[in-house]
Amino acid sequence: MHIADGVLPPAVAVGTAVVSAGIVLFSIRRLHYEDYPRIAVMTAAFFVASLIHVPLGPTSVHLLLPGLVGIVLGPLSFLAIALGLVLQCFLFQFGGVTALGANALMMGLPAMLAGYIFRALSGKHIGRIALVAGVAGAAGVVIAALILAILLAISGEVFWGVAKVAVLAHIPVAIVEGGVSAFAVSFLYRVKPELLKGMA
Amino acid sequence: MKVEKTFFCLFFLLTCILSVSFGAYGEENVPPSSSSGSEKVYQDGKSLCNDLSAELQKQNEELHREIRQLKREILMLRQEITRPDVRDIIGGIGFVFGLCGVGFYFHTRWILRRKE
Repeated sequence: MHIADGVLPPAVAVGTAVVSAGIVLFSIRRLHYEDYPRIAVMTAAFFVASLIHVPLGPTSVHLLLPGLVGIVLGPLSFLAIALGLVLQCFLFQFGGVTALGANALMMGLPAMLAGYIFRALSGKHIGRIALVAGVAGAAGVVIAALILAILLAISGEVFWGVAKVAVLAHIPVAIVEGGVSAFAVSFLYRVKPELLKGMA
Repeated sequence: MKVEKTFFCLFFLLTCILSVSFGAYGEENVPPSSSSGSEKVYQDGKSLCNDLSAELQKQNEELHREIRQLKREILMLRQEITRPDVRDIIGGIGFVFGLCGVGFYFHTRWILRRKE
């Protein structure tokens, strides 16, 4: 899902970088030292999940964990995902340097939205919590795929076909993500519910 | 006169016998006619050109197929080489926790300075 260098036009790359930097600064202002371990664990989880690629037809996809990261970290999820993307870019050359802002927007915004969806719709019953977490996780992946399609469509007609393939390829990922989020959040609710109370 | 007559008759007879025998030998050693069926007899150059170009096209297509297969294998090899190792993943996780530790370090320094 990572966008490589040279795909996005310069205006889009600069614009998305500025917006991403603004959201990261907004997240840092709400940061407390007690949040560091949680952010580290979620960044590591995102880092590992997006490195493991599963081939799917002509392309390959990977888990994004927007549901889990967004629900556990809330507004700080953008910071965790941006940090994970920076490390992947400089350590493994996954995704281009110029497309860091776009990649962060594409994967960070859905995580924040998933967190908001969970906080708005969840309840006290574990079944409802698991269902809402699953829906939030799946919705996060679908939104990420749509943002990717929009960014590719802006980049030129050459990428319209790739945009359609990207959205279709992420539909099975959305189903898997929904299941993963539902199981993980229901487990956390049973074992350590204070983790799901949100941050800042 | 009689001797000359005899000589001429003998010479004539010898010539006939020799010509007949050479003719028979020549006929025996003529190569078999090309009616075995495996070779085509081209009546004109155009059909020969057409057959040759069809053969070349067939070989061209086979070569293209093999080149495409080779390109696919090269792409798969490249993907395998650039895939991150388990060590790379563990290193990346260590990096993240290291950054967390650096954050804790600076926060502790700030707390200690505040206490002073």
